[in-house]
Amino acid sequence: MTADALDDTPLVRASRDGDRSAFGRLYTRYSRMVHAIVLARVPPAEADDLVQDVFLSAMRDLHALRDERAFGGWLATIARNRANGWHRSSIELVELTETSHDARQQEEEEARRALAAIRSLSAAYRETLMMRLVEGMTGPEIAARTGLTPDSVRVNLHRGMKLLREALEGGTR
Amino acid sequence: MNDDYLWDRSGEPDAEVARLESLLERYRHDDKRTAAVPTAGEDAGGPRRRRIWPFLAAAAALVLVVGGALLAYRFLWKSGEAWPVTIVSGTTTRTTRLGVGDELRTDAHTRAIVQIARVGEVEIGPGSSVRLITTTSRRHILRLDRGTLVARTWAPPFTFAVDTPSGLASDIGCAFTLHHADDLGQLHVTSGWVDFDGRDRSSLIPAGAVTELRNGNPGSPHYADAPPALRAALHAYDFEHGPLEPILASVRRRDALTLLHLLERVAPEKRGLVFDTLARLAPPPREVTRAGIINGELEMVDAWRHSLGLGGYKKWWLYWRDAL
Repeated sequence: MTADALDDTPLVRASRDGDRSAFGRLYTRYSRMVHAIVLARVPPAEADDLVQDVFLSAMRDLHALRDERAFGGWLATIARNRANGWHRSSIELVELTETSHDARQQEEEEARRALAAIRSLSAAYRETLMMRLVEGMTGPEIAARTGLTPDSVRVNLHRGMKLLREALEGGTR
Repeated sequence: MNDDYLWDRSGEPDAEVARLESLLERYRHDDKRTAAVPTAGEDAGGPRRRRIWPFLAAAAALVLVVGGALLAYRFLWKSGEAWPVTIVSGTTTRTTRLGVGDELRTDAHTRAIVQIARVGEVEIGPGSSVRLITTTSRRHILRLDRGTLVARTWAPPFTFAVDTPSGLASDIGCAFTLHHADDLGQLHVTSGWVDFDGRDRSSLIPAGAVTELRNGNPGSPHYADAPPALRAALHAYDFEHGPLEPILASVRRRDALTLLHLLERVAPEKRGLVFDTLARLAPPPREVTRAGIINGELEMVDAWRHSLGLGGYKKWWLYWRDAL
């Protein structure tokens, strides 16, 4: 949480009162953040469905949110819990890759390795890097959505990139 | 690595980051898969509401287009284009321009009003020396070698920054006064927030607070009306390896801001001491625990800062008066 989050209070209040368009706007505002958090923990093929689950859960439990300004952090916690729960109830299939010299397949393999390398980092770094590198969010945008300070996001991005580079280099040796 | 590009995609793309973005965008969230989530289109509205909707939409679109065009013009600036300058000497004025790499010096009887592209204005005080480092639509950096400047901007965070011998002061939609002489300086924020990055540490300073600058680093931010005993204790702690305890003994409730910064800077074995003092002045929110703070969990520090109601540094547009 943060020095100041985006002002979600009116949208959260309207959503509680049954305004579905308000909840739709919260979805638009936060879906990339939730997707990044989920993708940091589950295979890509599962992530989109889990994002829907997270928002449905949030819509159902919105009355339990005590501080409307903390919506982003609260939603992130639901996303982490749901993604961790997915692991407890599922056996992750290892995605096998065929050996091929086809450029497109090589690129897909490289993307899989990059994703796996990000997922090997600690939670703070992998979530921030997922938001930046996968979802295309900027540092200020990540800070606004997650409620972290820009300083924290900056540190996570820099240290995360350093660790990611080391992980990728280690993987190619 | 290009830090600006990693942070907000400004500047020259960093090859490694750009390559990872290109590889990983295939995993990006697909917004089209929103069937399970309510959208604006599903919102129930009566017939009357539907009739006025097109007019409201058209009016909103017009406001957005006009407002967007004005904003775009305000923030647009040709890379490297010189800034307009007005030199004021006694009762006479003359205009000139400050280009990238140019130095502007004022003597003891002269001051200069410099336009920061179209996003704000900086007044250079007498006896000062500044240089323009870079200017683009997304980033403007001025170097203050010595003297005093008063800056006032209205722009997204980190658009304008002042480089000093002590570090980089980045504006977060704000007004501030910066003074520097040799390796000593002071930053006083009068509106919004300033992020100051020194050699070893950073500070986020809100309106009303000041921070000393020395030896390439900012000191602990404190409010301008802090008691002399607190200011002396902070100076000793920040720059002379002084003890922490005199600070804790002289803080007021209003000085919670200072203790929050100290939580991130004191040695781990001292965090409990700072926590206890701060908790007496400003009880922490539920999610903040003593163990978590001692463990260095920055999210808890952020949560605590948030609970103090210091104002929103992300809502830079609220400080619109700085644009006038």
